[in-house]
Amino acid sequence: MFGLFKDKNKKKEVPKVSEEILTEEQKEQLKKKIEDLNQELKLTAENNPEQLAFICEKLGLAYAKLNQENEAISVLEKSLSYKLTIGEGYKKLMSLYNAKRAEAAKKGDDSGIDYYMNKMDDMRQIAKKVTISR
Amino acid sequence: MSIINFVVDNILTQASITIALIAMLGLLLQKKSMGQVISGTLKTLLGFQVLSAGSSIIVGSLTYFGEIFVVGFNMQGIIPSIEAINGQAMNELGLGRDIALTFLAIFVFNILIARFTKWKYIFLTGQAILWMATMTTVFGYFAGLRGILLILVGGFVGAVFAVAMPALAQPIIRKVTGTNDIALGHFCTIGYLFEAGVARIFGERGENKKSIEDIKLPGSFEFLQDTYLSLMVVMVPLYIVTAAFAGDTFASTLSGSQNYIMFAFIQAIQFVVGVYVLLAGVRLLLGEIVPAFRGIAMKLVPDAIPALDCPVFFPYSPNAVILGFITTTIGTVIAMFALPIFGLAMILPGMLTNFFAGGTAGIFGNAVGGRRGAIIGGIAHGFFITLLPALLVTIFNGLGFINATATDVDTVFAALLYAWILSPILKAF
Repeated sequence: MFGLFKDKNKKKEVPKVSEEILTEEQKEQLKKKIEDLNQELKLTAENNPEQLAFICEKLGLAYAKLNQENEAISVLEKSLSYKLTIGEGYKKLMSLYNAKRAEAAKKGDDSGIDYYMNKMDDMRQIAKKVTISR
Repeated sequence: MSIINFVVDNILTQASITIALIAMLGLLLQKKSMGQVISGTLKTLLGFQVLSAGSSIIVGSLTYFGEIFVVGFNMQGIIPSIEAINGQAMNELGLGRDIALTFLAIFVFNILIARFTKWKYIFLTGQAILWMATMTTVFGYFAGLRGILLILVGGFVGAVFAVAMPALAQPIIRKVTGTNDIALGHFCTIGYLFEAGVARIFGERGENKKSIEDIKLPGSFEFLQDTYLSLMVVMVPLYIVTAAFAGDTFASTLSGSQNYIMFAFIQAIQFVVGVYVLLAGVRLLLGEIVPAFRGIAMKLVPDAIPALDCPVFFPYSPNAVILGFITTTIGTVIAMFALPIFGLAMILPGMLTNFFAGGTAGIFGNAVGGRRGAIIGGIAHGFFITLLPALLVTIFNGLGFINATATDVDTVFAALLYAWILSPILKAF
C-alpha cells in the first residue's frame, strides 16, 4: 500500500521557496518590482478592492521571494482583507504562517504557537468559504 | 473517607466534570492565568451540557423518523451522522466520561508517537479526534473492555490512526501542495486512498492525464456555505416524503392533532436544530482543550508536521473539490438503493460528508488519475463511504443507538477492527 502511490522516479524533495538562492541580479529585479508595485498601490483607488488585493498579492509574493517574511505576511494579509482568494498568495501566506509556527515551537514560545495556529485556523475558514462560493 | 467516596461516586463519574478537568489540566500546563483557567474550564463544562441538550433533540427526531421509515418503506432507514452517534454515546449510553478520557489519551499517545518515532504528524482536527474517541470507546465497550483498559486501548488505537492516516496520505498531499510542511488531518483518509487506488486503475496516466483544474467549472454551491441550511435542504424533503409513504393513518398516531405532513416538517427542522445545538456544544467543548493541547504538542515535538482539516487543501485543486462532491453524491445515491438488495440497511446520503470528504477525495482522484480517475474514483468513493457505515448498523442497533450510523470512514474502519478482530480475540479468552 505504501508503495502504491510512490513516484517511480524516486522521491524528489520539494525545495522550499525560502531556500531558493537568488542571484544579485534577480534580487535587484525583485526590489525594483516591489518599488513599482508599491507605487501602483499608492495610485490605486480605495474603492477598487479587487485591484488592491491583486497588487498586494503580487507584492507579498515578491517579498517572500526575497525572504522578507514579515513584510510578505503583512501585505498578503492586506490582500485577503481586500478580497478573499485562494490563489498563490493564499498558499504562500499559509506556508509562511506554518513556518512561523514551527519557529515559535522551536523557541518554546507558547503565545507565538497559539497566534500562528489561530491564523492557520482562519485560513481554513477562508478556503472553505471561497471554494463553496466560487 | 465518605468525602472521597462522595467525590468519586458523584463528581468524577460525571462526564462533564471529567472533560472540564481535562481542559483545566491543559490550561494549567500552558501556564494560563487563573482567570483563563477558570473561564476555560467552565466553558468546557457548559459545552458538554449544550452537547447533551442537542443530543436529546436529535434522538427525539430520529426516533420518529425511524418509525415512519419502517412503515413507509418496510425497511430500516439510517441517517449517517457521526454527531448523532457521538451525542447518543456520550449521553444516552452513559459513555461520556470514558470518551472524554480516551480523547485525552489519543492526544497523549499521538504526542508520544510523534516525539519518539520518525512519524512527526500531530493531528490537529479536534472534532475528528472526538469522533475517533467516540468510536473506539463504543466499540471497545462492545468488545468487553472496561475502565482504564478501555481508555488506553482506545487512546492508542486512535493515536495510531492519527499518525498513520496523515502519513499514508502524505505522498499525494506532497504531490498536490508541492511541500512536505503540512499534512492532512481528516478521518476519511481510507476513503481518499480508496479513490486514489480506483483512479490509478481506471484513470488517465502519463501524457494523457488531463487535470480537472485545466477546465472552468460552472455553478456554485452556496447553499453548503451554511451547514444548517444544507442539512435542512436534505432533511425536510426526506422526512416529508417518508411521512407521505407511511400514510395518514400511521403517521397521525405520532403527530396527534397536528397534520402529519406538517409534523414531519417540524421534526425535520428539529433534527437540524439538534445538530445545531450539538455542534455549538462541541465547539464550546473543544474551544479551550484543543488550543491548550496543540500548544503542548507543538512544544514537545518542535519538528512536528501539523495534520490539518481538509478545507486547507481545497485551494490546491478547487475544481477537483466540486467534481469530487458531485461524483461522491452520485455514488452514495447508487449505494443507497443497491445496499438493501444485499440485505443491508438503507443509508441515506449525508450532504456535508459528501462535500467535505467527497471534495477532498476528488483532489486525490484528480492527482492520481486525472479527470477520468476523479470521476470513476469519485463514484466508487461514494459507494465505499456508504458501504462501510452500513456494515456497522447491526452492531449500533444492538448497542441501543437509534437510527444513525457513523460517517468518517477511518473511525468506521477502527470500529470494524474492534468488532471483527479485537472482540473475537477477547471473547475467546
